[in-house]
Amino acid sequence: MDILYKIFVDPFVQMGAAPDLLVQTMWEGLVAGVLYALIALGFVLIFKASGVFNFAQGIMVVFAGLTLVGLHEMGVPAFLAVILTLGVMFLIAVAVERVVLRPLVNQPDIILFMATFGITYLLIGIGELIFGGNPKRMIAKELYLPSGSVEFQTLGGFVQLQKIDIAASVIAAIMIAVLAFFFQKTRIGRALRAVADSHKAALSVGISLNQIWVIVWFTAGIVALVTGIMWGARSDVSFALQIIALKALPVLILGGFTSVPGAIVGGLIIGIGEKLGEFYWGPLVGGGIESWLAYFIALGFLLFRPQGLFGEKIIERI
Amino acid sequence: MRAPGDGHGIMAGDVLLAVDGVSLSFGGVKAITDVSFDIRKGEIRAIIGPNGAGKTSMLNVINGFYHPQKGRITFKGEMRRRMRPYEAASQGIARTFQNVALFKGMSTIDNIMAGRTLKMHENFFWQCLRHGPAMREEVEHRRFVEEIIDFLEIQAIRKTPVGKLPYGLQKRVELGRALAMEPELLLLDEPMAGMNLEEKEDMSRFIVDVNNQYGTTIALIEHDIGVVMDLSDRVVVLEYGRKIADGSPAEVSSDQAVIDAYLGVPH
Amino acid sequence: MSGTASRDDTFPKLMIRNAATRGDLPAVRHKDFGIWQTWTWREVDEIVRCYAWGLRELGLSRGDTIAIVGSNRPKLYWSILAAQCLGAIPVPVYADAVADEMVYVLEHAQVKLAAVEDQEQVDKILSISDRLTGLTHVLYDEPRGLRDYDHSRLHAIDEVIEGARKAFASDPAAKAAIDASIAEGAGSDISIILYTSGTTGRSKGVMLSAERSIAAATDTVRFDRLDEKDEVLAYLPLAWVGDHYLNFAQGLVAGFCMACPESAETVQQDLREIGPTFYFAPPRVYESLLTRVMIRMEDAGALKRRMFHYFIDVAKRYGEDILNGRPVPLSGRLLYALGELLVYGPLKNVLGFSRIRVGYTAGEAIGPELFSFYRSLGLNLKQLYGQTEAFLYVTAQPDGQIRADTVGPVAPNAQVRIAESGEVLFRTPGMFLGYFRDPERTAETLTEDGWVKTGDAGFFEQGSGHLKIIDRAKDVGKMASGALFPPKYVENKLKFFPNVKEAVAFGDGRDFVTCFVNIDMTAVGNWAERNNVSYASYQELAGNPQVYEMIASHVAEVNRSLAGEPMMGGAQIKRFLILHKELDADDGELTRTQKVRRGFIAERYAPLIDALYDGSTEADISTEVTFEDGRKGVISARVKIADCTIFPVTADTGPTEKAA
Repeated sequence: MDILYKIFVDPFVQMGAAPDLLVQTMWEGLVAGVLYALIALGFVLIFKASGVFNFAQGIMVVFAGLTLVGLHEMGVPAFLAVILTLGVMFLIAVAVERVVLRPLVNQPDIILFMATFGITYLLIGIGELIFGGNPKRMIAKELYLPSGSVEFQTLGGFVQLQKIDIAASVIAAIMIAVLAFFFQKTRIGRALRAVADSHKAALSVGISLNQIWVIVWFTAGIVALVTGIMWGARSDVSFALQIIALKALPVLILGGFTSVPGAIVGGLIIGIGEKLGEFYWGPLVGGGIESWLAYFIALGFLLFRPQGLFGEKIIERI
Repeated sequence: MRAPGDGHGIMAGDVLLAVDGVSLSFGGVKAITDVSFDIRKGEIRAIIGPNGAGKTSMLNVINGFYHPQKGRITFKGEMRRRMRPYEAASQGIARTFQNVALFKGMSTIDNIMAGRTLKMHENFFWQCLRHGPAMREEVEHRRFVEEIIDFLEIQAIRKTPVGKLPYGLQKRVELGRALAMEPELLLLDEPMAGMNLEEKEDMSRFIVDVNNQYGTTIALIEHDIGVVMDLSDRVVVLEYGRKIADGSPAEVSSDQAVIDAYLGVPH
Repeated sequence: MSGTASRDDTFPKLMIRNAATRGDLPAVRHKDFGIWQTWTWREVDEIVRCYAWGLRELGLSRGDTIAIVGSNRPKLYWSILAAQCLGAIPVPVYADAVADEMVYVLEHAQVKLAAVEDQEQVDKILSISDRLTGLTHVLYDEPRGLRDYDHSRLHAIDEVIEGARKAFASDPAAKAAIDASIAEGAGSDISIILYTSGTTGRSKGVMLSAERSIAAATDTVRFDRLDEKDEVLAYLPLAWVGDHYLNFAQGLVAGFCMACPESAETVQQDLREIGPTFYFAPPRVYESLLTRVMIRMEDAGALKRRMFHYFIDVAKRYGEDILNGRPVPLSGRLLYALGELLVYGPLKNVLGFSRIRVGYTAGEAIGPELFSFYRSLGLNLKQLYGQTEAFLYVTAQPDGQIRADTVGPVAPNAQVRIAESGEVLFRTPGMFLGYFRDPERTAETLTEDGWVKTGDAGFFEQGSGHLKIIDRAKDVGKMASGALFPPKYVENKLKFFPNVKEAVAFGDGRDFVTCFVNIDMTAVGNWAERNNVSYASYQELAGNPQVYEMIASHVAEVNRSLAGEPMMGGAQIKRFLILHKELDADDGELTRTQKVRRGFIAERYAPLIDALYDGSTEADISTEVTFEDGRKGVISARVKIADCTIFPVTADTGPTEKAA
């Protein structure tokens, strides 16, 4: 009985007793969730347009961050470095399309998936070769990102928000809005959706798949750079960061592999769920559940809605 | 709708597309063997034949989905061996598919707008701002698409995701998307498959109207022989990947080889 | 009648008035190529004058007739106005009429010109042109497919207008001639001839005068407080009196904007986009909309569905009272407000009903449940009773006096009389001048002292003064005692109970009324399940004594209500039985539109009717039936007969004449 009490009652009692702590925990979860969502967004973009599960999305985040910092260390002004990094991401997109996607067109998905492993290790290698393996500090101040924190006295306690977290949330929201607009309202956005729907039909109306692939990989590269800056500003830019790519997996299972809103909502659910779990239920098993809780939530979800929250219903016609 | 430009000075009745000794095989399987025929500007050309005769493969060769191992294709006077679908589309070849290939998640409007992709040129920057020239361009193309919607009488489903539409209407939207490309050559792969009589009549009317009003050259594959004989100016008959007859509907339907092919005389 | 009506006594004069007083306000909208095009009153005025000149050039002059064929298109409405400018008479014709039907009307109306919508109508007219002796030219709106036609007698309306514009520019006398022609028009001119698709015999051309039409429209515009800020969607057939009155005539009088739908299939979407403030639909439209909503809700998620049903319940409890201004508890008002936010508002928006201030229905009886449903959502739905010959309103429900079972009190300036036979007679401000070239049938329709016979039987409800329509007068029988016997009226009262699926009443020439009842398998089956009544078939359930009791209580309810109504008290049901089988169209007992075939049923079940009247308590019957697979078989049964409670008649004969 005691264990049941500790699982089902006690955490909620604690939440009620100290609402300020609850809000603080949820906020931290929200911020983590926003970053998960950004990574998942990169996955979804590429998966929709080319049907490839891009394992390299995580390393693209790291690589973008490293390039930015590395260029700055070489004496390039911060904002010029951002533009140059975008150029590098564009080159990567072109290279991936030329060297990987085009020769492998019409190959089974698993081959393409394996190819993205190749891209991952290639980028790790090149990154270490050029920038070295040591963690670097993100040039947050140079990019005029705020630091420090604000405190609210509320709910009988204090809630502390890091300014960088607020900035990250706002920037992520703006980027998602811009992407959504781009997808819905422009010719290229329409072409992207068309390719995601039917390659054959897209080809017949004169949409060039190659061009579209470059565009989505480049878009994913932009998303990676923004993620890299935000995440780097909270900790450091290091190769360890690519692990967060694995966090995108449960987010995708939750949100559906083909849904942009799904990636966002899924990211927030996983982020908040993780932090709440760690804080309120973690002590029961001695802490450290943050690293696996997300997968656990996703697993439970798979049982009930295999297509994800927003994914298209899978109906196999027989 | 505007009539498509008479590219390269090809006049009605001249050869628009010539297929010359084309052979296509997949591995060891021969899909098309040494087929030659031509399509003249302004005509409705039917390609008929029993199942597996290589009709759809022929269309796929023409619009660049397949690359023939042998033979030449001359379109608007330019000879080529290999061409990618993207290039075929930009030169004025549009098509529909046997089993409808639409963008199922998108609305009717967006599907047909997608057909305008090659006609839209404004750059990325203006598009993102949705302003200036890009805005004007979008409005202008939207107007063109509305004319097609009016022409095909599909106003009521303008904003419906096409995946939700009945099959007959999906075929109509697909035709609309092809028309949006203002093609010089329109390839229709069984435009009336799976339709009821009324839908077939509607579709026949649209095909004839497109041909009459805009002078669009049409090549179509169709199983319903009655429809083919009514609609087409000339018919080419394929069987087992070879051409067995070519001529006016009357000539073809009295051709012994054709009769044998359709009645299944053993070889 | 107001002073303005006497000055602006024709529709073209009203158009000019509107162009002068509200020239920049929208008059007509039409969705074309996906965009709503709008014309202001000033633009309409200019176009119509040009068009009138064009028609004059084509030989249309005072007193000539011009056919208008097609769906609701601005140019067809302008054809009506342009013809009226010349003193010519527009004759709208139903667009779905086949060529042969059209020949009769067009030839009878002796049309000189025809303004039609598109190729389909042009083809139709051309196919019968050799039988139309007076027809000289055909004008069309939509040029598609007509390019290669012979244009010697065929003209695009656009080109006619354009040509006239040039003539006006070069020759000021042309414009003056049209102005003079409009000024010459008098209120006593025939404004339009509307052909009614009479239920029996050939169509009759109802002639309406300009001043009477305008007087009637002026009254109802005031009655419903319509003005230039209102907006309607003209989707009803152009040739039908309802469209001509509600949209065209009221629009010109009140100066409101009339929107024309893009096509017949897009009406629902157009309704949403326009958001009309005044709306009319026959009951079956409301019914099919409700069905569609219900089906969609069944497909919705569980949460949404539960929310929907909860708030629909709230609306049922409080909605109508709130609309009628009756007291409602505060909690009810709050719940209703929440429901408006979550359910009713979005629902009305989907249906295009968000802005409707006045909604009407008419034409047939509307189910009380259906009526209440829309009213409870806050839609001001009302009933009217009208006829083409009345142009249009005979009775109408004013705000605050709205009921499902009446058609309301007498409309403004109208008079209604109930004849000896129970037939409703009227005199209205918009009353017709007579049938075109048919004095014989005009005389048949009018009484000697100038009242118009409706052919419907009805009575005034005591107290409220509302008119109730019983049935077609010819279907109302007389009992042996001389009392009225309206079978359909009695049957409908019974059928309003969900447990009763079908009822067939007998009594013509008899001493009392008896009735066959079909129970509703779904409703009664449900009841049986809840009450642990087991049954294996319809026949078994129909014979169940408890079911008999239940139906007997419904019959008693009907009798009580009949006893309280003037002239209806004699028609109370004395004995009834529940049929052992369901009436079926396959057996010829119902028409394919599910109407009972009384005569056939009386013959087929003669032994049962005999038993109802000879006092026996049960009867044997065997009938041949057709099964679904086409086999035939015989069902025999012993059917019980029950007696019912009869109530003393409380109502006197009620008022027989009323004026508003």
